[in-house]
Amino acid sequence: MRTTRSEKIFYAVNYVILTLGAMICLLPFLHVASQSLSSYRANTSGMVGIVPVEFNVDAYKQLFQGTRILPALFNSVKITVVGTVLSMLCSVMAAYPLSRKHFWGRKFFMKAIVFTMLFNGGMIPTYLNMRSLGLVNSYGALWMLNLINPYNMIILRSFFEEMPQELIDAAKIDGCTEMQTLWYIILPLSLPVLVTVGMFYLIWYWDLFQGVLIYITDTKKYNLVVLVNQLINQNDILDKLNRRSSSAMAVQIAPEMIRAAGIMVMVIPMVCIYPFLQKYFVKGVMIGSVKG
Amino acid sequence: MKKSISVLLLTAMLVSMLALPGGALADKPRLTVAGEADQAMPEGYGTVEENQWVDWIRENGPADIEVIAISEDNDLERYSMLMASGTAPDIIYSGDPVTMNTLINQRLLMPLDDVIEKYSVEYKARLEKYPFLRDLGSVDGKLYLLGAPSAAVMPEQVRFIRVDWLEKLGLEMPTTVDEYLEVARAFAKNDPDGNGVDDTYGTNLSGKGSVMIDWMFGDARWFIRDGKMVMDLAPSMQASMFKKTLFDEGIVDRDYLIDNKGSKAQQDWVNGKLGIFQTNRSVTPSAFNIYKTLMANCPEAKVAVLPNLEGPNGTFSMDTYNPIDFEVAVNAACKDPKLAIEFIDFMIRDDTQMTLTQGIEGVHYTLNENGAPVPINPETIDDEMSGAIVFLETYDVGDKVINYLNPENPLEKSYIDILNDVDHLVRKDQPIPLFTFACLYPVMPNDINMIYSNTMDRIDDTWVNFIVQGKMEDAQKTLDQANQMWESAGGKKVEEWCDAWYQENKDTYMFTDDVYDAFGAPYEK
Repeated sequence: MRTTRSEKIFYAVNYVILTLGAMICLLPFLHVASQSLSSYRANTSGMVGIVPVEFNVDAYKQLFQGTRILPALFNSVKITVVGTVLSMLCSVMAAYPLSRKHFWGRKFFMKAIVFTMLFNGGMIPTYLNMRSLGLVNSYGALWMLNLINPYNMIILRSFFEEMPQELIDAAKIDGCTEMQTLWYIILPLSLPVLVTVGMFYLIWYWDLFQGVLIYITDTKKYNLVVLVNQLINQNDILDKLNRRSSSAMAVQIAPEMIRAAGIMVMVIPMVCIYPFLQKYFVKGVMIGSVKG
Repeated sequence: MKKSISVLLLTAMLVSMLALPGGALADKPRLTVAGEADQAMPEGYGTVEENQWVDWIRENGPADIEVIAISEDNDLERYSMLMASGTAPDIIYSGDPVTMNTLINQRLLMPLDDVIEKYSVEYKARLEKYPFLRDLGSVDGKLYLLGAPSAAVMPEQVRFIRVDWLEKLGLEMPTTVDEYLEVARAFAKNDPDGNGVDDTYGTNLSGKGSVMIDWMFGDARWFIRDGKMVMDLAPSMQASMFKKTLFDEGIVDRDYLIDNKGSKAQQDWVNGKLGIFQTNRSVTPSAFNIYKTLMANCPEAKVAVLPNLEGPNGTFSMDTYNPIDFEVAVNAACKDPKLAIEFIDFMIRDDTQMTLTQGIEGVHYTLNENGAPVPINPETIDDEMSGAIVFLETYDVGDKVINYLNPENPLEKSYIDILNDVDHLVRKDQPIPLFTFACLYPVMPNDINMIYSNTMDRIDDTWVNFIVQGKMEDAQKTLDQANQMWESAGGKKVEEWCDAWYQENKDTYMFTDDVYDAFGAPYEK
């Protein structure tokens, strides 16, 4: 099909506007990135825009030597990877039976799950519960509490519901058990939605904050988000890092630089993962939600 | 049932004793202590819970302590949770009076009068030396909170002025509010940096600037007049009119509202575009860095400290650091109050505090001829002291930049002189305008506080509106409007509560004058 002249103009204008929009979203990110890579003088004198001025990596040096950011990064990775795998496993196992019409009590279970989206037991009872399970101060509490996100589970369920019954019948005739059907037939066909929901969980675990502050008592086990939050809010820490760097009277670190560097360390891993999964991401949400 | 629990406990005890490393610690009873979670722990220096200083306290103190890290961010929530589950630390630490008062109201903290009377040596001595600690730490006649008085009333806020600009324009150092306005106007209009462009500001309203001008006019909101505590918004009007003049004439950056941390003002200052810088960064290391950057950008700059300015309602000083902090208490569920008090006594001993702030003599510091500690390794001393639990410190100058400056270096020497002038801002004859220091303000009950803070927010907005969009002749009208807002929101109830509090406490409480008498100014020490 040939595109007409007016269509070409339409597309051109579209692209220009969208590119501009995308650039605007990129600006704050570039600004923070260049703050973290600019000198103290440039930062405090307000000379930093979206390009580093007087390039240096002192802020990162101070951050990695002066704080526990490296262990916190490993903790974040651990929480995220294990958490996402567990959550995906449980969400799929919950969603598949609920998507099959012959599953007895399907409506009741579904309602019970939706009920938890509206009401919950409150913080202190949940804490006591976790405590009696011996999960306080272990990542178990974080994983246990986020094992199934009803919203994500419902996305998976609606996707599985779209799966033609004939496909499953065919698998049954070939001798597949329910488990084998799920594993060999359903899951490979559901790749887009799996990646989408996986991404939701990934970000959820990576950004876990309140839960860590409540259930994790040991500062050794803090994750990146908690640490960066401390960096942003606690002037004592910044003053100390500042003193640490200026005691040698060689380099100075402005609070903005440390904050920016902390934010970059937190954001970059997610930014790196996104491009690889994004093609599924868009398709997945569409397919799960649009019927017909 | 009981039997099985005790058997369980016994096994638990046996197991925990076996699990302990050497024999020495096993003899000491256990005590759990709250630690500050929000600390930068450098690589290789352990964690908040386990580091060389925690080990040092275990070895030298009366108890085998276990540190439970509490983040300042939501400490009330965290304490509530830990207390509900019976796992809160025996020694409670919080810098937030609201947290402490809530815990007291819920009867989660232990009254300490008897235990201190019976077992304490050090804190009892402190109570005798500073009798006000007992009154201020008590609620309903029972002592709950343990406090740390500072060595003096330490200045925090300051107005820096460019003396070279004064000289260039042939102006005198301002001493009154009117002269201050005049100088600021000249700085903004008469091109003091001589670049032929109208690109300078006289002073700043952003950051602390706005509040500092309120105080210049004695705008404390609460006043003690004729033996009664009353609310008066009239000084707010005077301050707002002054601010409006600054705003209307372009003496300040008109975008001051979006710069609530004052970082734009600070940028103007270090770039040599601001004549009078109102800031709370005066004595910390970051303050010196700001000064250094200014001197690098404008080598011709000469900076001085503006004295307290005389206004229509008197001469007032600017805000100071808290002269007293009540930051430690004991959990009501603590099994061994005697041990808790012994531990606190150990922690406030001079030699303990010396070790936990400066390190070990010969390892971390040596004493100079004046007997002051000098770090052996100034570059790493901060890292080495990471994780040391210091509380109820009586002197709090550890973070002050003056300890790090070298009088031989001319740039650093000039900042030492500035810091001496900063010290002289604290004067009893030019007090802060508040009836007592903010850290000693009585904590209002929730319903009263709700009315107070909500209404005050709305009244503040009204004044901001007046400054930014209003007309000067509407000042009185705006004041009437604010007063009416206060009345209709139930302000009378707040006033009644405050006056009742005042009538009950006026003979025993520490008011502003008492604080100056008790602590004195830093240069008197």
